Order: sequence, then structure tokens, then C-alpha cells
Amino acid sequence: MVLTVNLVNSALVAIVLASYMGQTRWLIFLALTVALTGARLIGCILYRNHAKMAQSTGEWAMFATIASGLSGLLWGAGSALLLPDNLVEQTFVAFVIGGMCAASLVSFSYYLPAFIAYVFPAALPLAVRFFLDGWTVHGDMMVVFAAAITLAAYNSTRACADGLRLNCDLTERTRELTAANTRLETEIAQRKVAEDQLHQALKMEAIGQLTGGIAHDFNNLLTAIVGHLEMAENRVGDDPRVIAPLQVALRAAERGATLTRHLLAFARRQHPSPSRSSSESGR
Amino acid sequence: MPQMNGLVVIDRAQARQHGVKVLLMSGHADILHAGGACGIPLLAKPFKVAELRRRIAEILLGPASDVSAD
Repeated sequence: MVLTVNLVNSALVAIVLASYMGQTRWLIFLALTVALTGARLIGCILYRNHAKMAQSTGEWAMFATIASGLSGLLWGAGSALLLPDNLVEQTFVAFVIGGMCAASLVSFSYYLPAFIAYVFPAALPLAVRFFLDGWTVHGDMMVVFAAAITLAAYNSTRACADGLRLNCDLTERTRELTAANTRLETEIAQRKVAEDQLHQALKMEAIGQLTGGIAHDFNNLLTAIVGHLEMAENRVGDDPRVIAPLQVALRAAERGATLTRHLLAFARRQHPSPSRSSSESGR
Repeated sequence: MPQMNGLVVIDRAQARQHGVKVLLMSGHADILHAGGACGIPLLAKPFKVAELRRRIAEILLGPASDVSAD
């Protein structure tokens, strides 16, 4: 796009001024412009094909800056060396240079060095020519124009860089947020698992305490049963009609004692760290 | 035994008469798990009369007790 504008403008200038000043010199200018434009087009295509190699971006920027500098120099040299002596034609050339500079403000808005490399060689030779010819006001206007448009380009490149940085920041922030969200989800899942485990452990501990309490009560009852059965056995003498049922009852009480030992073993697994201060002996 | 458990009774008795011989009978889960309390000889409930008799004899014939219940 930029290259097309460059080509069309140089062709127009050459055609308009060639009719006035003799064709040869402006045709040379046109030929040089065409050659440089072709070179820049090739460079542009090469860059698009190799743009993925991010490490060489600096080199590409340098090539682009040199190319735009050469283009600017061609315009500057052409306008200064081939300036017509007619005021109307001079104004035309000055307008074309100004228009080209203004257009480059748009096309180089992202990269200030390329803009400066183009605008200064394009505008300043004409200004020098105006000063040498005694057109001080014209020269001043060219210099002021170049300075003003450079300031505008500076603001524009800064805005462009800010926009890019903001975009990068947003991408980074989005990535961070996504990572934080994933982390949170993982932590929530882990917490849920831990809560379930804690809940289960509390439940089993409560069951263990209950079991321990039941075993305690049964131990006390069995102590009374066993003790009194044995005392009765000792006092009853040899009567097998009494001894036999007492022994059956004693064996049943012993099975009961085995049962409480199992209950105690279960309670110990579920509630393994008894607190000594809460200990209580049998009553 | 209302308002007091066996350990407290042992504690009070030893405070009143130093070296008194004691045997703790318990069916409490925590005490049985710990294998006793404060070094006091333990007889686990339930037990046979013969076993009680044997333990009492052991303790009476043994050295004076100087355990202290906390």
C-alpha cells in the first residue's frame, strides 16, 4: 500500500514536471524510485515469509529503516536538486513532499526510527534549497513542518507502544487468572477430600468412644456376675443340681468377657490416644 | 462410687498414709489400653475370685508401695 502510493506519487510528479523541465532528469528519478520500491517490495515479502523468526526482528527493523531512509533521501535529493524555478511548480513539489511525509506518519506510526529516517532526508534538502535560494519563509515552514510531524509521530508511536503493552499485560493477566483459578479449583477439591476424611475420622472416633464406654459398663456388670457366681459356687457345697447351672452361667459370663475384649480392641483402633486425665477407675 | 473414682480414692489414701498398698480394679477402656495408671498395680475387670486372692497376696507380701497417683 505504502509502496504503491510512493510509486504513483513519484510517477505523477515525474510526469507533471517532466513536461515543464525536460524529461531526462525526472525519468532518472522515476527509474530510481521504481528500483528502490521494487527492492522494498522484495524485502517486505521476505519479511512476511520469515516473520516467525522473532530473534531477527531487530535486523528486519534496521533494513526497513535503511530502506525508508533511502526512499526519503531520493525524494529529498530529487526535490532539492531538480526544483523548478517557477513558484507554482515549487509549491507543487513542496506539497507532494508534505503529503508523502504526512502519509508516512500513518504507515510508520508503530516505529519512530523508520519515520525519522524517511521524513528528515525527504523534507530537509528542500528546506536547504529554499534557504539557499533566499526563500527563508518557505525553508522555515519546511523545517517547522518536519519538526511538528515528527512530534506527532513520536506521540503516535508512544500510543501504539502503550496499546501493545496493554495488550501484552492483558494477555499475561488472563494467563495468571486462569492459572490462579485452576489452582483454586485444585485446592477446593483437595479441601473437599480432606474434609470428607476428617468427617469420617470424627465419626469413627465417636463410635470408638461409645464402644469403649459400653465395654466399661459391661466389664463392671460381668465383674459382679462372675464374682457372685463364684461365691455362690463356694457356698453351695456338692449339690450337682446347683453346681451345674452355676458353671453354665460362669461360662456364659466368660464368653461375655471375651466379647468386651473385642469391643475394647475395636475402641482402641478407632480412638487410639486415650487421655489419662479423663481416666476413671471401675466403680 | 458417687463423686469420686478409684484413682482419687488411691490418691487420698496415700496422702493420708504414705506407703499404703493398693490394687486398682478397672474395666475402663482407657486404663486397660494404657495397661494401668500412674504405676499402680492393675487388676482388669472382670476377674475370678482366685485371681483377686492371688494378686492381693502378691501385693501384701511384696515391698511397700510408694507409687503416687497424680
